[in-house]
Amino acid sequence: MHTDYLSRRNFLHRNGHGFGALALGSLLGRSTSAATPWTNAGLNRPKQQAKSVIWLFMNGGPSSVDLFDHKPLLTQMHGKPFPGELKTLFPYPGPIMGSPFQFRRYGDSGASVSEVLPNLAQHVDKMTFLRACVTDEQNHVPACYIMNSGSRQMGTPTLGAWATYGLGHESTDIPHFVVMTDRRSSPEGGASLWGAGFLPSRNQGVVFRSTPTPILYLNTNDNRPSPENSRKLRYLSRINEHQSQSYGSPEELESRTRAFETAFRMQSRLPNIVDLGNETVDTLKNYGLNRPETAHFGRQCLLARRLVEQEVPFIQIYHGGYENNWDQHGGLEDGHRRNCMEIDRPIAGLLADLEQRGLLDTTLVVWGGEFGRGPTAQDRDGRDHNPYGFTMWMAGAGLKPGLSYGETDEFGYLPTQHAVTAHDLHATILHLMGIEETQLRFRSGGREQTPTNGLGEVIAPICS
Amino acid sequence: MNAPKWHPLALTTGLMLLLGFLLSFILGLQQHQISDPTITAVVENARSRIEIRSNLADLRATLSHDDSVRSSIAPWLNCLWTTHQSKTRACDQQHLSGDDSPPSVHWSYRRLSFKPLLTDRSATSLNHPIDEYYEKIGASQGSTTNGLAEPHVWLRRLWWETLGVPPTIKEMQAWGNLDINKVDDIVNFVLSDTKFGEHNATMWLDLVRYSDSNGYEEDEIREHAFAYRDFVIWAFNTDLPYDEFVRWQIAGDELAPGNPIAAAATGFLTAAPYNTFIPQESERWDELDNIISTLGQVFLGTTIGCARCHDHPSDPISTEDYYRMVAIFAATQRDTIYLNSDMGAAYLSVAGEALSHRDELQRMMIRSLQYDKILANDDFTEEDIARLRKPLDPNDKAQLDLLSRCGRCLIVDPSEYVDDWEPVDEDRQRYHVLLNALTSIEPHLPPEPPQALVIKGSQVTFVPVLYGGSLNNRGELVGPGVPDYLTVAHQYGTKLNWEHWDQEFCEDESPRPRLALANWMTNTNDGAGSLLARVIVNRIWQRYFGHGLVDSLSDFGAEAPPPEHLELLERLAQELVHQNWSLKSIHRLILTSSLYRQPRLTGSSAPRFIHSNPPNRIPRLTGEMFYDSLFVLAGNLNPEMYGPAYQPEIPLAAIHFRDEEAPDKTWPTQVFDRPAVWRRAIYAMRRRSCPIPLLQLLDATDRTQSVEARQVTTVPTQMLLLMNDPMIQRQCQRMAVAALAHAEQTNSQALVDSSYRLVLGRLPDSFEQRIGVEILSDCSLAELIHLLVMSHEFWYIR
Repeated sequence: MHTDYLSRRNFLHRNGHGFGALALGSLLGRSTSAATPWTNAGLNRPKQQAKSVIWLFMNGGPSSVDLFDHKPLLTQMHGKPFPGELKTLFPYPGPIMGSPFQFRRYGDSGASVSEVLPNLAQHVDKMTFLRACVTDEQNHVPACYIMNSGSRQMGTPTLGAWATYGLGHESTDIPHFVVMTDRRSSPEGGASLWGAGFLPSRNQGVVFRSTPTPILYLNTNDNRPSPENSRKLRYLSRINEHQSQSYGSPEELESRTRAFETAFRMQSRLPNIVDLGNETVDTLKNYGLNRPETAHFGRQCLLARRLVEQEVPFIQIYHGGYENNWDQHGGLEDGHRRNCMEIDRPIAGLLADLEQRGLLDTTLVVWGGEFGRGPTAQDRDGRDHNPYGFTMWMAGAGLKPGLSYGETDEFGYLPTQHAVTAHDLHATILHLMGIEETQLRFRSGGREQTPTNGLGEVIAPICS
Repeated sequence: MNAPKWHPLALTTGLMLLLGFLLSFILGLQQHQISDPTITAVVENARSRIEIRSNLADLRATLSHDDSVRSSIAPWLNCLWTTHQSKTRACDQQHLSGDDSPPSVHWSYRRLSFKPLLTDRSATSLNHPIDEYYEKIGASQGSTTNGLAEPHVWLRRLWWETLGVPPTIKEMQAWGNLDINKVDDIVNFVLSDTKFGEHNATMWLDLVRYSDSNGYEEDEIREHAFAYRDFVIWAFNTDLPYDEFVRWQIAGDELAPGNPIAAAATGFLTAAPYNTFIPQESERWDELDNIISTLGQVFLGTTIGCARCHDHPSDPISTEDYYRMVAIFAATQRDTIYLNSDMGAAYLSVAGEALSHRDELQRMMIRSLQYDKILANDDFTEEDIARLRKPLDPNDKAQLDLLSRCGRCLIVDPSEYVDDWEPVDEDRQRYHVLLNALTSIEPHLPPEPPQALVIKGSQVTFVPVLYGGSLNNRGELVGPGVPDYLTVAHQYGTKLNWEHWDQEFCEDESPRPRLALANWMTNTNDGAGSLLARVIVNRIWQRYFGHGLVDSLSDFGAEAPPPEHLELLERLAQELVHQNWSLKSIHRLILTSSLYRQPRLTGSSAPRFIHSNPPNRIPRLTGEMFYDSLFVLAGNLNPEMYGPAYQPEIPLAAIHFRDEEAPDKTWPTQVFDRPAVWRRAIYAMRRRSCPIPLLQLLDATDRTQSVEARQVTTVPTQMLLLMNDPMIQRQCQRMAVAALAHAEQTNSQALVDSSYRLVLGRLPDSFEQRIGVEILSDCSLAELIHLLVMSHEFWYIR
């Protein structure tokens, strides 16, 4: 009898006796209703405009003066010493460096865009530019933390975590805060970039890959769907139901049972989301999936649209990690040309696709890095960091399209008007999601905290 | 919810005052640096905007008095008003008889004045003192007793909650027929098990945000940090008096010179995350802040960190108090020591030469890499290259110009070690000498003895008060000091400066601010020791009842709701002090009470709680408890204690920083599933940027900020982990072997019995027996066990 249970068949063939993908809805004979309120009901959001946010994070510091913030004076003064005070990360800044790229004006708004973003340039009338973003960190990782959480200190809740905390109810089959990182290398700063800090850990970002098993533990290594699995799940349900009685059947155990059911559904739903089989060839091409240099980021952008269709509220995609990023202290021309090549077609495809499907009205797209790059040369053909004045742009839900807000000086170095901090950006994004930050509170460190702790202001002039 | 609006007049006036003041102040401070007034003004404008914002919140706290303005305050400052009310109330109501403190003193800051809970019992009382107290207040609240939990339920609870693992079948057999007289024996048995220290240390490390890496950009592994973790485990197991435990963490190197364990205890002060990549001044202040804030919350239940930018809005901590605390630590530095100084000295005597050779070689390598970088600039002339290779001279204009053309060519990170570097010409001869010497020395070197990451340095330092927390707003210099209001002697009108606390131990030596702080924190009569005792007994109480006597475990300030059972808290704290700060005596007192031993059912037969508003959660296993239990139940736990952290099993896809297309750079690709990783989770490497997914999914913290109690969440991704993690499945297979070995017979019924006994510590009832047999007709024994491991009862401690 031993040998039956411990036979080679059981030990080897059932190695990885987990639960493979299951037929949707067949499970446990229970309702698979979409509304599964794990926690308190979400906030009432009468003024919600953005149902979803897609934040395209250009890691390493894209150079505003070479992409969106055209400064002819840099070209005119190329090679001359910078006339004012510079605060750079590295010592010995070089002379002023003109942009290696040509600029042209596009669209009704007449916004200048660099030659390296030819496809994106076609969409300037959809964009709202924030031309005077400021941060107060010179270093990448603390600046990335600021951009995500408002604080340079590790372990502060990120905006995505606050937003999903505010939404309150757990998504049924798909995580609420989805993060896609660069295939080649993850961003420095690690999981704290999408961490929940002191908020409940369910609010942290879930890393989502483009592979058939997009999230961890979705399937066993040798994923083989089998009718046995649903039987096992029924067994578990019977065991649990019986045990619950001795606990007085508290809500907590019921929600755990529901979490099992949802997990089972995720196993079949998530692979469907990453399966692009039903997208047209044209769509794939518009996102750049037909070319090796754009295929990966393009796939992530396309996945973002598919997640938006599933009403996932907060999606973040990192372009660049500890390598292959935007941090061109040297060789800026080649580096930015390559980076732009990788994102230009995919983002243009995303904006066009969202608009064409009528999703841009309810989706907010955010583009930017943790800071910009300075007006002077470094290592002859690169630029050092510039946290004092850089461009970000947003597009979609609730914004005035084609508008430029704020301005930097003629060197593209410092803001001359309407500087925007990460706190302001966060307050604005939440506002567009229909959440005022005073609605989100959490007690930690002896005080009640909110996403910007009162330091962010909604940028009203850009909101429609 | 209404969005608060500023009263327009208050807003305008306040903002104008503030802007004007701050701008003039900031610009005034910076005046001497201005090279081009227009550019600088713009920079300052941008910066001051950021700073003004951070000052705005403070100003709101101090400006506003009328209701219309109050509603507009940043929400976290609302406490200002509610607190003042509750503080008054607390003082009025909580001034208990026997307490001779001035009535204006907040309850938690007073000198302990009650009699100890256990020691002062009347000789005739047969009841357990906690139960006696409960009966006293329970009677008045109309509660009824609810009997005791079944022995096997209580045993399992006791094991989980003291040791972090379930009892084995053998232990259940040994203690299972519980005799009422054996309760003390069993409690003493678990308190003497070394797993007690490991389990308790896990929770302590959450409080002190211990991690094995630095955090931030580089997130380097702190290979010597483990010594602090080991100190904590050791201290809990040996029941090191809590006051000593605290003193050592602040100044162990000074209190017990030459004692490596006491020095390792100062690892507490090194545990904050910090950035090592081109560190900025602001980051050092952040690190110091992390130390002070954590120290305040963990030990004194005081949110001192709130006073970094402004006087504490609700507690009597001024900004000056905060910077005086900073001054205590401002001169400290991280250092490593050999845990065994004799071994260290012996090692250095043989390895010293090799180490200095290696240093010299590293300098040569840096020189060589710099030279390569310079040469890579193909438009430099021979003359340029020669000039660049000279020592840096700030007066050499030509050299500066060259540097600005290759700004980073002299910057070489020593960690960029490359194998194939060639020494520059002038180093070549010496290079070969060193290489030859090393080749003959190194093969004979013994392994380097273990080291500890510690803190050193204790000079008296003065630091500027940074108003608004801003580096551009430096005020007067302050030296070391402690908050007067928390100093009991001050409450009676005795003024004590910080040197008093230093001199208490050694009068004739040079001043040591850390030692002074340690003494102040642990002195129950005049210092803050009473508060220290209250905070820790409350944490222990919370561990076992899910609820502190004071709800906010790390905040005993005016914001904390006044405790419903202040007398019990006071008497427990006094008991701790009376028992020479023995934490185990408090654990023992609680664990042997009937209150702890009662059934924990919900619904109609709700358990008794000492709170009128009890927690509504059944305690659930933590990630660590679950992880450890997989090995305990399978019988393959490697019980090895202490030592450097091991790298646990992590799915490759979860390793951040990992290049998916290249060999892994940070987590050695290794064969998991071997004894080295079958150890308890507390010894697993906790890297801040790359959490262990199993623990993270089960609500472990990222160890960047102090966490008093973990949030418990229930999400589907946890269930995916339970269903599909290969490590869990592997361990279930091992459990199947164990269950088989324990089975009395080889039929299905016996295997079901054996599985339930192994996993859930009890026999199945008839329904469970029936369904178990049905499962075994369809699935393997390992699968049945996997189902039990996922079941509710395994996770929720009855």
